Amino acid sequence: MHQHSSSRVPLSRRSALAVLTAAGALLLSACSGTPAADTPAAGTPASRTGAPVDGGTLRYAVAGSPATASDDPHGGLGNESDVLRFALTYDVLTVPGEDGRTRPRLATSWKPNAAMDRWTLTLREDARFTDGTPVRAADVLYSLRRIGGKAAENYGRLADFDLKKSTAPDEHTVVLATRAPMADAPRALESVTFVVPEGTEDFSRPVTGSGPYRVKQTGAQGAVLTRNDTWWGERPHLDRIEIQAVADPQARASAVTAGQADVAGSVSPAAVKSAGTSEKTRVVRRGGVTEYPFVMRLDTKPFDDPRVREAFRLAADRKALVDTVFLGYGKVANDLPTPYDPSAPKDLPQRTRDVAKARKLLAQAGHADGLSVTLHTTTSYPGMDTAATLYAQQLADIGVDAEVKVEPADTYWTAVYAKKAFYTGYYGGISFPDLVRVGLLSASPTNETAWRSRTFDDGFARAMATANEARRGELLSGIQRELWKDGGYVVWGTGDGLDLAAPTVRGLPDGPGFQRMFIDQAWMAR
Amino acid sequence: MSRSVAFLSLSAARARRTAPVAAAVVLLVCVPLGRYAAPHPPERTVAAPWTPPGGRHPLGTDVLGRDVLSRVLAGGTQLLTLSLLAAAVAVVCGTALGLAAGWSGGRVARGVRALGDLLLAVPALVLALVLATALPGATAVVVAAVLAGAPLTARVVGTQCAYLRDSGHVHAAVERGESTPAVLVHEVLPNLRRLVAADAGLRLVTALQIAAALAVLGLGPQPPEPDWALMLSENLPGAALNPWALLAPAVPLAGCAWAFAATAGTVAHTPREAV
Repeated sequence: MHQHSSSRVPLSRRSALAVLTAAGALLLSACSGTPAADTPAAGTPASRTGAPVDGGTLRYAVAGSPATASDDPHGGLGNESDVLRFALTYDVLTVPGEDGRTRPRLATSWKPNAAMDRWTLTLREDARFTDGTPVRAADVLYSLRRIGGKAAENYGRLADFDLKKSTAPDEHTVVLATRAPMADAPRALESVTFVVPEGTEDFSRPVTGSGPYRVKQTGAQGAVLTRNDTWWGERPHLDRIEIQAVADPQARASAVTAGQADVAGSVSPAAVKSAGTSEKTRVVRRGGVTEYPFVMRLDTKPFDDPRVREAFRLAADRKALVDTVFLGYGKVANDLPTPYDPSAPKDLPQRTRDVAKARKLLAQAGHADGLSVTLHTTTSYPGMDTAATLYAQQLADIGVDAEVKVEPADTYWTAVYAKKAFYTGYYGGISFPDLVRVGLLSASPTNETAWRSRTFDDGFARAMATANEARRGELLSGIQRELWKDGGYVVWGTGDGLDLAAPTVRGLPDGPGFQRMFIDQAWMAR
Repeated sequence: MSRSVAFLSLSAARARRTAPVAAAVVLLVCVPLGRYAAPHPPERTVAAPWTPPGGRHPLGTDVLGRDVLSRVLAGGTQLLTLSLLAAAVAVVCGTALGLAAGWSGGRVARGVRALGDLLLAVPALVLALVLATALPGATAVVVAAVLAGAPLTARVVGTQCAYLRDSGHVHAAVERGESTPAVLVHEVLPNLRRLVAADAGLRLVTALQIAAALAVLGLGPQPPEPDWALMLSENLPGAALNPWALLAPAVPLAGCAWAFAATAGTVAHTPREAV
């Protein structure tokens, strides 16, 4: 399902791409937070009751194609199969926790200055590369600068950090400078900050890491990893992990049902549903992974009228959309663009379908005789076209004639996205602060809804400079209320990320973003 | 005994000849009427997506929970109309070019042939895809079908016309002082009608293929249009959940292509006295 191929995404959209597109979503979903999914790993609570068993080999079929395979952990990360290998063989500074809050990994603690634009990170002292040399602050800074230097490849993954001004004052301390006050800096360092030894320049083959596994062999079709017994963390249970790169989601699902793989990462709802009848598989659901909002531009008729926007939101039959587009593997949403973010306000009333009220609002806005619009969509991600077609049906009920136009996937993100007045968008688990930076500030590079609000801009700036977490949460949630009331998004639901696993697999992560790649504590029941 | 075998084989041969024609006629008449026989509104969601066949939905439902049977019945008209139009334009253009080349001979014939060879060097589908980037889907289908089909028609018509030019009744007409257009229309064309009819069937199949391919690639009719080819691409993800959503539109699509191709073959090979 997530065949994120970075080659599909034009580089010209660099900054926005950081989050909005295929590869961007893949990268930065790591920086997002989701409330802990209520489904435990690998399906049933029973899977967690047994004590973990050591040993065994796990075969993981994951999205990946030889054409975009890479050994560079600081590049585009277009291949999930590569990311899985990097997550297991390198240490990262922080990881997302199941509750959406940032957890320590190589960095044991972090502390900002009063202005929130200098972050002092303390590194663990017992981390060693597999060649025996210690992991030092200089290695971390070298790796971060390398990520910064490859901004054109990785869509400016660390663009909000000023890595020139960042320093490594001693062996185990890194001081990171940010370009503006950035209260969510530790979150931006989650998952993708793979640390390699200082001075490494040859990335044409696997580079020494310090993670829970080491590379035994790699090739375009996958990799074999064995446990790194010198790793500082909790000892991994599995002896070996075999990564199989399989581009087609249906083929990944079939590999598990046929017993050729133990886990299939990111499969389609239809594949899960077809496998659902068999006793041989279980499903891992990761919440808030896929979102196809309908985007209305506030500076273009007829969406410049708030009554029209409200009517369009009231037209959506959210449950029908979730049941059809995600086949029920998802949640109804309430027009907040990042409902899974910890800062999303919880007390807003859920918008529901109200055809009569929507018709009345349209009449008040001068569209009593109906309204014709074009709803653009594409087939980049499974279900984007379905979502638009069903919503057009629902709009017909409020007297809106919405003509669906399916645009070619290869030009959609340059010709339609952030340009047309009404289209189907895509988010892959971006955090609220990231979304604001790329798409909701007056000066944002790709302000797709043309949302320009002084109070919103000020509120965000204040939040990012607020050290107190509770207070910051209030500020962020406050500006989302404004967006809920008046913004240009129809967010009808979020789809789950879906993995299929053999029933013996235990302890697979089901948290947000790239957390799914950190499978070092998985084990196989006997 | 031997008589009955002969009779059977005769009637079998006859059936082989008439079946495609009958099928083509039935399709052309029934497809536009199918919409009125649809038990459900073809563009509305009526049940859960990918519901298997049964009860109120004999062929189950599709990606959006729409009734597959209703959509198959409602579909096809646009596809057939477009293909017929494209084939007609291709045959008219090709025949005109062929007559001009065959009658004039010499430089005109060589010019038409060279142009045709150039166009035939490009695969029809590639031509259609390139055209679809600049033109609306339907226009691209017509233009591609004409560019890919007319040269073939021109070639067969041209050869036959050059041959007929030397026949007795044509010479007689020319000597009677009839104008060239009159000779072509009254003396040459009537002798080419079987050839042109057979050729038209093949052009129709090509046009159908181009139209279906563009629709599958999303360059043709837009959702929620119940188009057979579009249904194929829409319903591919649910192939395991309700295979009928995929098979049901494929059958009439393949049926049309077969009926037209077989009709063309029948027309071309039917002995004169049997018609």
